[in-house]
Amino acid sequence: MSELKRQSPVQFKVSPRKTEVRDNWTVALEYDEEGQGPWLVDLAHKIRWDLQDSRVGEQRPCDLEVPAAPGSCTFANDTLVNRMNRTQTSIYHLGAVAPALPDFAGYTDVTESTVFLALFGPKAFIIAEKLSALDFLDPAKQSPFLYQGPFCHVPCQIVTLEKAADGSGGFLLTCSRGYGDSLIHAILEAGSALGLLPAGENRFSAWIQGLQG
Amino acid sequence: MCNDDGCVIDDGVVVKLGENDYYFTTSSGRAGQTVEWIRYHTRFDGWDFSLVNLTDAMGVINISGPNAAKVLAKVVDVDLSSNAFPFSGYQEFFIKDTIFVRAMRLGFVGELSYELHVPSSYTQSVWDMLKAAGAEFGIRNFGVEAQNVLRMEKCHVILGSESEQRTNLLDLGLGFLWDRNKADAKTVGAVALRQAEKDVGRLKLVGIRMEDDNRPARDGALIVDNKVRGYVATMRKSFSTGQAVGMALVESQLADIGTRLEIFEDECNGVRLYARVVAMPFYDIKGERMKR
Repeated sequence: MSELKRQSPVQFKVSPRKTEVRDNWTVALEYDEEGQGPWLVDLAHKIRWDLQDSRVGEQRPCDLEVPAAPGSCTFANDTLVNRMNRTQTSIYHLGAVAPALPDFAGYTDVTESTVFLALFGPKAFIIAEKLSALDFLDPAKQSPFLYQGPFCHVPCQIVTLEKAADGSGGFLLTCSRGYGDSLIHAILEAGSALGLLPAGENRFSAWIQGLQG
Repeated sequence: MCNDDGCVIDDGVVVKLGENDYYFTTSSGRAGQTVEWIRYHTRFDGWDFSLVNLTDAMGVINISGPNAAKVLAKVVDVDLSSNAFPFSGYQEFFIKDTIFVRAMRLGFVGELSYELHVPSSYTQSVWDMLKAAGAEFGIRNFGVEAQNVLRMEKCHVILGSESEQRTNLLDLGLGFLWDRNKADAKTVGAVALRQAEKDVGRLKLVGIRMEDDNRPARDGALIVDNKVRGYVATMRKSFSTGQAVGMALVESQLADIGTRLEIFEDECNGVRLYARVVAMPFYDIKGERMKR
């Protein structure tokens, strides 16, 4: 009988040096050559929820506040809560483990639905500018903030977690799972001249721990 | 699913999971538009619901054929008898206590069939399991052309093939899906459908068989007399019956069983083909194979 194995929607051409099997996902922890950044990390195994309710602002996912304004985010305890519109919020669990889905009809686990990537490090937004017309470095916006718009011409949710005027910082990106391979190809191609390389979960975890103090 | 003109814009399967909980499918590539259709038609009525497009979250595998239940029984620990899991039934279960499966017993290709909806990341694993389990039964992959012919033999429509922008629910012979007891205001397209019932000359979907079984007409060929009277939607030489059969949309005056139809194909050099309107479906008329 076949082995139970989950497949990420994206595949890098290089194999990781260190992996860990978690809930049948093979999680890449480190790669032999990750360079000095920027880095691209596959986070397909991280749990994502969709929350919909006519009074979504009154919900408290993981005891966190749902921001009032669409495009705003709450980030604490390895959890990111992104207000999408009047009735809808996306929730990303960025830590090693995620809580069980709350027993409320408005929650749906959408982990399987999307590609989930992190692109961060020096010149991360120089790469993003090649692939999207969205203004990630808008001085009027304070991270974290959510964009819902095209990246590589694909409708995406993009959360900027950190940004600096020199184009460094980083963001998370989700889009429909079926775009995985094309998206990875486009991002790596756009970032090749800037030293973009795949990196493992360890580097991502270190980055977000630094952001949360 | 109709638009305000009563024309069919999508079809799928709806499963009632709970008092106010539904799981439903759409036709290929339509999910995004159907989500918007639902939001659009509920925008002023104070509806309170959650709607999530799970298309990318699920891989769907259709296992079909006389041995489908025997293959599936090797992979899942579920009673697959017709009493426990009848035609049009729905079940949820786990494979190896791990992979959550939503299973529908359907029959689009006219045979005993199970549509397995599994988490996308596990689709390859489930596929491999089914292929291994089916090896002793000679299981084989089948593609969309085989599916197209098999469903055509059963006269199961594909929107866009057996319909176009002006084709309404009644034209397709699916009027039984319209709940006439429900208020028109709560049924998108009902007003237009009531009006269309009285229209003469609308294009109606009919079954047709060529006079020469070795010469099926091409999809899209025109049905003519001294003007265009309709067109061939899908036609093939049936694998199962050896007959050149298909479905066509023809003006209602030509829709009676036995009517002789003249068919014009591109580059036919004046040589017309001929077919007759026949009863649908062409294969397993009582549906015993898919309901066994």
